[in-house]
Amino acid sequence: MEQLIQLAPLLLVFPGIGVLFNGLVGRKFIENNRTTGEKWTGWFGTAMAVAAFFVAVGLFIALQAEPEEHIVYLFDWFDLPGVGENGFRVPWAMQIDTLSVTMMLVVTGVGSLIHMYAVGYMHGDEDFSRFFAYLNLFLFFMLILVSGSSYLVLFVGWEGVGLCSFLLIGFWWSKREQGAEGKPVGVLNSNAARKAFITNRVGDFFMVLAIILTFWAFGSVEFIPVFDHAIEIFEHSEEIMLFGNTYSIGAVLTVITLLFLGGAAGKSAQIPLYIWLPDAMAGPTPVSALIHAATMVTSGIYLIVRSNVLFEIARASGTTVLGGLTSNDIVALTGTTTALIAGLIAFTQFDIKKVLAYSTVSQLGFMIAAVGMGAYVAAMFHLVTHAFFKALLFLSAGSVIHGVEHGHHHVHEHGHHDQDHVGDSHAEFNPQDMRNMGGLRKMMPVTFWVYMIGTFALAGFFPFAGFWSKDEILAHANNNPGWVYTVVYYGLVLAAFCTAFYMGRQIKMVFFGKPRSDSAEHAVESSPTMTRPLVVLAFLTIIAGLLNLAHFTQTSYENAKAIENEIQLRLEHWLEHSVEAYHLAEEGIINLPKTPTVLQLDVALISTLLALAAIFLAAFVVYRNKPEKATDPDPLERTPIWWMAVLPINTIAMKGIVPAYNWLAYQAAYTLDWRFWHDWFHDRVIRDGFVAFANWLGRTFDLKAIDGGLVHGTARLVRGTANMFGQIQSGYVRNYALAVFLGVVAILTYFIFAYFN
Amino acid sequence: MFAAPTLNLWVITPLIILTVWAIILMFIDLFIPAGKKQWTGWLTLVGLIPALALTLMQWGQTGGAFIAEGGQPMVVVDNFATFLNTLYLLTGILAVFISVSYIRDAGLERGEYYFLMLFSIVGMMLMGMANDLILIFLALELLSIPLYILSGFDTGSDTSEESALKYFLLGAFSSAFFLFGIALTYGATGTTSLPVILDTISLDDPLALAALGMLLVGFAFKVGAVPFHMWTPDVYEGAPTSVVAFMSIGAKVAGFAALMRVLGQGFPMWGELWQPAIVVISALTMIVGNFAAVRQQNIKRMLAYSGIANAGYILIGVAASATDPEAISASLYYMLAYLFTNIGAFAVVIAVEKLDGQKGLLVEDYKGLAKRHLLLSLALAYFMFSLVGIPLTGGFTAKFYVFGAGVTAGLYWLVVIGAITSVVSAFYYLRPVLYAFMYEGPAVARVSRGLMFVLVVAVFATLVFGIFPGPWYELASQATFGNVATFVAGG
Repeated sequence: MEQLIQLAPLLLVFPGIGVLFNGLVGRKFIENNRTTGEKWTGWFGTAMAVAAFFVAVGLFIALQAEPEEHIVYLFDWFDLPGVGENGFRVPWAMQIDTLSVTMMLVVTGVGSLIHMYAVGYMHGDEDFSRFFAYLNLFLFFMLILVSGSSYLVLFVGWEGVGLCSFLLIGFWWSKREQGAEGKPVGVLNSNAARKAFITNRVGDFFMVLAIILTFWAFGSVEFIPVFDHAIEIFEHSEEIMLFGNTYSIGAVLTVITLLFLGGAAGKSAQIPLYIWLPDAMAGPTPVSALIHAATMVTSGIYLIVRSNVLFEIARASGTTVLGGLTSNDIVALTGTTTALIAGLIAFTQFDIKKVLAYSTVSQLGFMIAAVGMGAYVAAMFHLVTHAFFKALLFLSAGSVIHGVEHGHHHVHEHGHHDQDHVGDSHAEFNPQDMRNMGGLRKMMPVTFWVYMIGTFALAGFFPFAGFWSKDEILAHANNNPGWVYTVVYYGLVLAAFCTAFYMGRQIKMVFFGKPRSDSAEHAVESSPTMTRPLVVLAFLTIIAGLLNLAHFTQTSYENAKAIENEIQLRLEHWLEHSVEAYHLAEEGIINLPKTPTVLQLDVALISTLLALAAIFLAAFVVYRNKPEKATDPDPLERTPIWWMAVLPINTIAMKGIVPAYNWLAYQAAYTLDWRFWHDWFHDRVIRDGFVAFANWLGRTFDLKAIDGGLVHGTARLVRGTANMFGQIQSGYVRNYALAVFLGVVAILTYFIFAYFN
Repeated sequence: MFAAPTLNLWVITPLIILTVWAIILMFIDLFIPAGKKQWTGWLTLVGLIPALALTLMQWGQTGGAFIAEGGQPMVVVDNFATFLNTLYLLTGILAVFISVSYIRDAGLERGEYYFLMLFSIVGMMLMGMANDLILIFLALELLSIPLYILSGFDTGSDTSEESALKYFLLGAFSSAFFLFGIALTYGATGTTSLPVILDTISLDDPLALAALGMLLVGFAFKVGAVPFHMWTPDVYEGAPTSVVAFMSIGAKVAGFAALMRVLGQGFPMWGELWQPAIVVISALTMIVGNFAAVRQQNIKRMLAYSGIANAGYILIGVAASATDPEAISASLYYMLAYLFTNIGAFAVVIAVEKLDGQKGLLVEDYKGLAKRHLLLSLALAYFMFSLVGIPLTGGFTAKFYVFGAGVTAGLYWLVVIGAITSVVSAFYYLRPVLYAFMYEGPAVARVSRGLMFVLVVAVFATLVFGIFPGPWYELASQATFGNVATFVAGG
């Protein structure tokens, strides 16, 4: 089994080969022959992802026998003996443990399916091979991120996936997001890419600070030494020497963990750094599914789960900030707020992918809230199931877009031969706008059914995967005392309600009713290359709950545990080997909030009923009078007063609920998110503030002080000095010899002087 | 331990191969027709590559040959010598690739070029291996005389002739001081063998002090340290560019080799005494080299001053070795990284140089290069970034290590000067890059296959040193004297 573990580097080698192949020769293949070229490059990239998946499966099998962590050492990356107390030594090594292998399986498994799907989705794209090169490159960096045995290696992957995200969001860099009437709205794709990149830099800045601080506090950046050292210091209640002062470990770890939260907020799109993710939907849909839903955006959760020891010691130390909150509480509350607000914002989106994007932000909030509460297994469970069903939803949305686009081409090729502005109207049509859809369930049956499965999972219906994972988080929040948990619990229950609502609205707008455009009417089902991965993902979405199925009675839990000691299948027991906090809790060193081992019927019932109510409310009440034409206003857009007048008497109850609901969503989406965050906060505060600051820097500070004084001064000084030296260089050998002679005299004088001293 | 007989020829096998092959090549060259002299060039590799292979096999070995008076070997091989020998041989091989098309196009295609280069390499190798001042002097001359001739190889050009003559006169002048230093050392100790000097020299002998001063002058001249640097710009400007590329690395590294050997093995106990002298020379060299480079319009002169400045950075490690002998590993690493960056930079210069007269050598002649030769311009930019010391280049890690060595040795002011002058260096290094990318212009370049090879190797090596410096630094740190067992005389 040990030999199997040593194969771990292959995990990086395969995607690496894919990058080289697609990046260097892929284009030539396609230029030679479009059809076979696409086949070669696309399937080669896919094969590399699948190969990596098999390596991950090999590691999974190897860990069954020896589930404790293995370090696969590759080479010494940094070795600076003079830095820090014991030198700064970072080997480039891979940490193969149950946590990293879980991530690897998700990344390569979902990744393989998405590669396969992309072969169909990107068919005919000009830059087909470039796309696959980037996609392989993403896998490569993502696997570095999850396999690294130190924060520094993790950070390499962290930055690498950020780069790939940037490259892929801006893949169609010259295009612009379209509105319903085809008017360009929103930002250029290239700007969306920049926005993602820059926003992530803000988070990365915290990340870097956290890593530096970790090194100075614990003398290493490798996970195991850092954690061991932290535990040791905590157990002996020692102090940490930092920059000449001593601090308690609680204070140091609170700062470090909050900085890690900052990093995670950037990558995992948490408030206030979530703003890049909705715009990131400018990228091709497989990218949205892989990077911006299933894998990269979950690396913040991975980071926190990986650092569970630090977070739990920070909690156990009892250090609080902001009037009684531990850093874990802040993590949990950040997640809850994000889950709720993003869930509300999703109501009012018309772009099929934007709904899913805000939904992703919201679900990431669930996971962050879970890790903040110490429910590491529940968070990972939700991460895995979410990877399945959100990838499924995105890919199905891609299939819908593809189908509608196809219908659009069809209409314009067969219906309007005589019109000369065909090209124009083609450019204006937005195939992603849900107002242009409707009734697609008949035209695209496969997509419809898998979409429904994804929706049920996301909304949390029994027995789909999302039900089990979401419920575990809710039960955990409900099971622990303290006002923070109460707030998190109600916040997340509300967010779950929102989830079901916007999904109900979406399926209603997309799949039911009558087609609202010619294109929707002529939409066709996508090719099997695209639908096959959808079916596989749908299957996974249905059964993924089994990974950590809740038990109905304590006895069944005990019985299962006895068996599962032999086979490491259940996520809870599987992850126990790498989430050190569970051991620390067992040894009584820390006090970890407990996740209930048995299904909490009341929690499950409440959330299921709420989900049912929400989906019913959305699909059959609010959208009952669905718009007939694309230009009809969204029912949610109408003012509350309008609702009061038009609603039938028998839905009086709705008078109270719907307007308030509607108002809240509107406020969240337009006032808070769009007007406040996107427009006011970004444009006024960040952009204008930045411009003003830049102007001050540029005009006052830079031009006058720096340029006038420092730069030109320096330049003058440098030139002056240079001229002075230049004049000595006369070109005459006699002068040169004189310089040598003077040098000799100087040296001898020095030695003689030194001698007499 | 390497069981060595008194005449331990194995130690100098690489030298023998090169010398014998150079002589054979002189005869072969007679039968190569005038238009086909590139064959002499390629045949040089027949000597260089086996010599490199043998040198690599000597890694980790320690031994001496030619026992002189006092029972000490005159020639030794240890990791220090092997490390540096590898540098010279790599330089030699890359220089051949650069030279073949260059001297053909410049109309200088004569076979002497190549075997003179081989002889010079022998001299360089002997500089690091010599364990006796007399032999160091011999090596110094063996390395210099071919270079004097090569500098003046373009017999039709006045500047080339001028540079050769200047180099020769000043070289002879400084050699005289060096020889005087040897004489004084002999007067003070009665020996010229470095280990014996270490044993016998007395700390309060003014004669020995003067001797050390004189020896320093000789090396400082070879490495181009201020104020013994003044020949460099004139010689670099006038000599054929391929020769400059070769000697700007080879001769400099050889000078450092002997300097480190003499200071580290002959006079280590006087570290406190010579450290301030080296510190001052280092500081002056960095300041003068970098500042004077700013006003240069000719890229070869600019690179000459850049070479002076880099000698200053290397001297930081030498100065630090006064207190910590391990510190020279930083300088050794610096030279390794500098080798590739510098030869790459010269390869770009050669590609852009037009051989009808002195055209294409001004910084302004790089205007618009990126329009027509994007990859070449990117390579130029990368080498210049490396020379400035921007991260992800070998130049950065090299500066990092020497500055680190300086800080560890407590030479804060020297490191501060090094950092400031590095900033100044961006001033002139980035100018050709700026011209290449930001201006319109007629610049064209020819990249022969040999040049292409050198460029690819140099970019790759600079990148590797920039990203994975660890293993190479480890090699350099195995090459310090601290890791070398004392020689058992004659085996």
